[in-house]
Amino acid sequence: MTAPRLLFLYLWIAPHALQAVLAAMMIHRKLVRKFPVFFTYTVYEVVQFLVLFTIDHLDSASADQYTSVWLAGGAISIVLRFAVVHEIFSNVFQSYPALQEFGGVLFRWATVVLMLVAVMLVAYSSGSEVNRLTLSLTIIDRIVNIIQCGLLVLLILLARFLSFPWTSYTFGIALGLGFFASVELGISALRAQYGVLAEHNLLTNISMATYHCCVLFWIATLLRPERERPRLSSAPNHNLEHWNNALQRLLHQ
Amino acid sequence: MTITLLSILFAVVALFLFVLRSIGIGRVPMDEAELSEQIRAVDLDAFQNLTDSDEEEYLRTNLPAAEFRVIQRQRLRAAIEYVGGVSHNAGLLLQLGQTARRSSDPRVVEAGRNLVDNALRLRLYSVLAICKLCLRIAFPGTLLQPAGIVDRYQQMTEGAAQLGRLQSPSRGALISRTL
Repeated sequence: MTAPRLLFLYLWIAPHALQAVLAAMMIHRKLVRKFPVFFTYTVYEVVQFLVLFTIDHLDSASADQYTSVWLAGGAISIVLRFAVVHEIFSNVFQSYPALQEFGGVLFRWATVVLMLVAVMLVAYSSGSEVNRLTLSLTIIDRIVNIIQCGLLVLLILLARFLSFPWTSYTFGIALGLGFFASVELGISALRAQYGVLAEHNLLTNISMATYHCCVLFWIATLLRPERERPRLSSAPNHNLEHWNNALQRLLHQ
Repeated sequence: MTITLLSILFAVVALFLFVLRSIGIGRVPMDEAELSEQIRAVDLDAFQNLTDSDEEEYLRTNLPAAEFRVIQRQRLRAAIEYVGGVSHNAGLLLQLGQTARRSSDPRVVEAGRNLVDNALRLRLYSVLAICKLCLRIAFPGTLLQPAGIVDRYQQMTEGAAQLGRLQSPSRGALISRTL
């Protein structure tokens, strides 16, 4: 077995093995109820890998059969990733009653606007694909990546602006997905420009390595306890005194 | 090719943002002493004066058109600075409210929740107000008042004062006087 093949197998197997660990961790830490869609996505990715890996190693299975399963699996994966992004939005906004409605509206409108932008970008971009199937795939790939990346960037910026605490698992999941979506967007843009087969192995390896890092990031995020913000009741008078002193100083300026 | 470059540029910027934010995950939230050092004084009366329609009408009537436009733009720029200060303070009070929501005292939790709600609304409302004021700088003749910002700011500072009173009854009201 050659080194590139070994690397490919490692990058194919390792992230999914780690995702199985991630799913087990989520069950153990009772996070399934908090992130049901992300858990479903994690389990689904493992199952999809097992099916594809089995087909790949079956002598009786043809390349067409593998492609069909891969395409169908990829489509479900895309839908699930959107559902995860929606779950992240819901999780972020649900603890703020004033923003619950705003979060839903923002998600819907941002998706629509990003979809329009993505369709326009793809429509005006040049490409080298002549095969209808690969052309459709690269177009869908790019549109999906632009929307997902855009939604996550929007969430991160909004969270920064609204001073949401960066202590929850939700942001860890969002950032992991964001790493993957942004790298995938860059790769899909390169593929659309230079063709699916151009530097195929290199780009595929980068994509798989990114996913590997993304799964590792999720595991690292869920491994550490959710950081507690300091409780006000621990030293309220002392803290308030500092607060009031600063305000008094400002009064005399 | 340009579109491809734009897509790649967006991907790189997004990746940079995600990496930057992931570094921030482990950062300890600011304590109240740090928050209070960053508070900005906001003169509500001056702001109300700058956005008062009667005052504007008086200037419009008594000044030559060109001079009115110059002065009105200066007034609106100053108003934007005030709104920026209000928004900045709302961001700080938001963090205070977030911390209060985790208190063991249910009354502090409730006051913290109210403060967070009001500060969030105000922060979003400030963006809208700044957009309106920018539009008015571009078109000084339009009548787009950032109405409601003062009410919301007072609502929020009352929330902060209520939270302060719950923690230390004798001193809490100072917050609303200062903000």
